[in-house]
Amino acid sequence: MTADERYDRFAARLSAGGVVIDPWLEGSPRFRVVPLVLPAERWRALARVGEQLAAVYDEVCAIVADDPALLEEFFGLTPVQRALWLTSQPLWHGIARADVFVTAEGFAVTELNSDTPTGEPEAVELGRLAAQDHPDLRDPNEGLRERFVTMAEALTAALVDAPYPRAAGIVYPTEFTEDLSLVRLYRKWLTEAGWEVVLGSPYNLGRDDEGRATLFDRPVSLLVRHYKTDWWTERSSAWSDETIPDAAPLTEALEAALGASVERKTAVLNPFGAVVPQNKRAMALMWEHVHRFSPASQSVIERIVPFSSRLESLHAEQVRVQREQWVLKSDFGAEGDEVVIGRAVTQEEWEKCLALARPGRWIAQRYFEAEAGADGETVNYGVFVVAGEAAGLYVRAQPGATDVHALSVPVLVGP
Amino acid sequence: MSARLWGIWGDPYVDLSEVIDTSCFGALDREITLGLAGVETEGTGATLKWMGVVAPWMMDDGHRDAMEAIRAMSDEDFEDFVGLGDDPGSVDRARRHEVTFGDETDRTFTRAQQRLLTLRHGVYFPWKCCYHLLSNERWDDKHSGAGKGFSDEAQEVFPRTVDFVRSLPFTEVGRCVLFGVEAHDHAPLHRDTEPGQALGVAQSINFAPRPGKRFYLQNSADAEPVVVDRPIYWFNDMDYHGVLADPFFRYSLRVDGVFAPSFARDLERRARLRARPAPAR
Ligand SMILES: [Fe+2]
Repeated sequence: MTADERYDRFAARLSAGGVVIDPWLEGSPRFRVVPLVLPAERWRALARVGEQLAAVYDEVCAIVADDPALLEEFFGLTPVQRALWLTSQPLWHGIARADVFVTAEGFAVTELNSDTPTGEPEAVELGRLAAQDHPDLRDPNEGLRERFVTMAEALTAALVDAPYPRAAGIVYPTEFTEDLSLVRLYRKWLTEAGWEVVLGSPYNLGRDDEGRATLFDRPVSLLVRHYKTDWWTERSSAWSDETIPDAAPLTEALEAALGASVERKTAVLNPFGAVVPQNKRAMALMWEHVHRFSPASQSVIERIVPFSSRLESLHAEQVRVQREQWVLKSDFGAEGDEVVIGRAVTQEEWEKCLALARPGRWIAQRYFEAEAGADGETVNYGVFVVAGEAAGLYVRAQPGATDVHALSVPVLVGP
Repeated sequence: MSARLWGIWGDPYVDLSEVIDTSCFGALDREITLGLAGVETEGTGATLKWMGVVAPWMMDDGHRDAMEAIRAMSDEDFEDFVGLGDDPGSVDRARRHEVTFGDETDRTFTRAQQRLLTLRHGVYFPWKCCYHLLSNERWDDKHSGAGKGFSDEAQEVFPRTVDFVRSLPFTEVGRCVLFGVEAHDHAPLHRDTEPGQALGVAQSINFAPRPGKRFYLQNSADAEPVVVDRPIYWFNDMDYHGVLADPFFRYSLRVDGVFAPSFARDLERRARLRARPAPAR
């Protein structure tokens, strides 16, 4: 069998699952067929890093809850972004993904995606197929579904007054075709757990006479939110050269979702409080205000979070001349988007980026060299954390930084 | 039943004439009207009531559904009807009440069956002049362009139209159909997708090279119809839509596919910029 035939067969098995049905991206395979086998000890260590990072972010949120002035002064949140936090805090978490890399000095993380993490369908479906082929090895994602459903149900029970309908809305950008496998997975999980599931966009939200949020006029007790926090709010470019006027927030949708959650009619998952930890400036807070963290968190920050600072807190000349040592990240830039790796651009491009970075919107993070495998690839270990505990693993491999062209890799855990 | 339209990004529909050049529409109209005069077209839409997609308040409007007529036929009438089909022998007469005919089934109507249904059984075909430039097998199929191409005839008879469709901002096209409505006919208010169940708003571009087709959206009996008077647009087919009657022939084309991501992002950005915060209530 040729490699192409082998992939075609694998793709057919994958698509038959009905969740991930796009095994190719622009004509190239999106997945690796041969699983990566992690020693159990390595998986335990990665899991610990994911949990420790989530705990640090929880402390970030506690610090901000104690000192709301940080919202404006440190994070530079817009009025509606502040309102999202204030109506939801201290809740910020349900499911998140910590992106962990291996370096010569140990583990390092690039972020915790705590807002609308992706990769669950790929991880779950690849893991399922790999485990079928290797029954002697363990699928680290085998428990993700149960953990997710348990968390979603506990969150609803805690945040919504009984009785409530066992109906969930999944809210995402329905006008686009991205991330639909995630929607299929969440719909499958919730339906199998006995929930009625309605799919829609924020524009399809409303409230019924009892104040419960509705999606397409159907009342829902749980809103699974796969629509980035900053997309609900005022939107403006992180670059100062773009003449695009700022967009207005989704006022009506927010009135429905926030109103229903404040009145304990509908729970929102992930909570809108994710607007603070999802903001990259949370990592700058970890370093600039490191003294405010517990000793345990301080040691985690020093060990796994690359030094990060608000761009404006650094000496401009230092960042300019130390291009190769820095990575610029905008506050709400999604993975790969609005990330400028100093080593990957020319000095001229670097200086242009620095000149155009809209003040108050960026961090600079210390570049780290991820260990490359024999084939020159870097591996991104995406540790899923559900309610603070590691619950799955999404592995991607790519030469250089992770973007949409990374290959998703099945992963199994050995003895 | 919600009276409001679900629309797209808070708008009733997306006017694409701001972003797609329609200056060729006069020429396309000449090509299409001449071409339609010569090619074989088909009738469609006679089973929408049977399919359960017609707006509930329009179910009793008196226009007879083909499947309803077929189920009510005497055995003799059924024999006449089946005899005009492509493969009369394949229909199990003993189980005739389990067999379905028409759009999106394995037994689409032949021209003669359409005529018989119309002439003897009073069935209403809303679109009597349909032409598939690029076909899908099933409605669910219409967004995936894998292995599909424009028919040789379409490329020969409608070359400028095919070029225009190819120039549209799709990464793949799954279906391209011309829907023509004869004078005095209307297209019944129906929806293609059930709100809350589909994974997304079907990505499609609709265009009418000749102005005058009153395509409209309406989600309740007492709501004002929203007539789409733009030459090219994207609408949410979860909203009930139809065509109002007029005393002349009208047509438009619907192209289904997958939008280029940058095109979709640009449309969204434009919609967000148009939006103003809702007044306090
Ligand atoms: Fe339709």
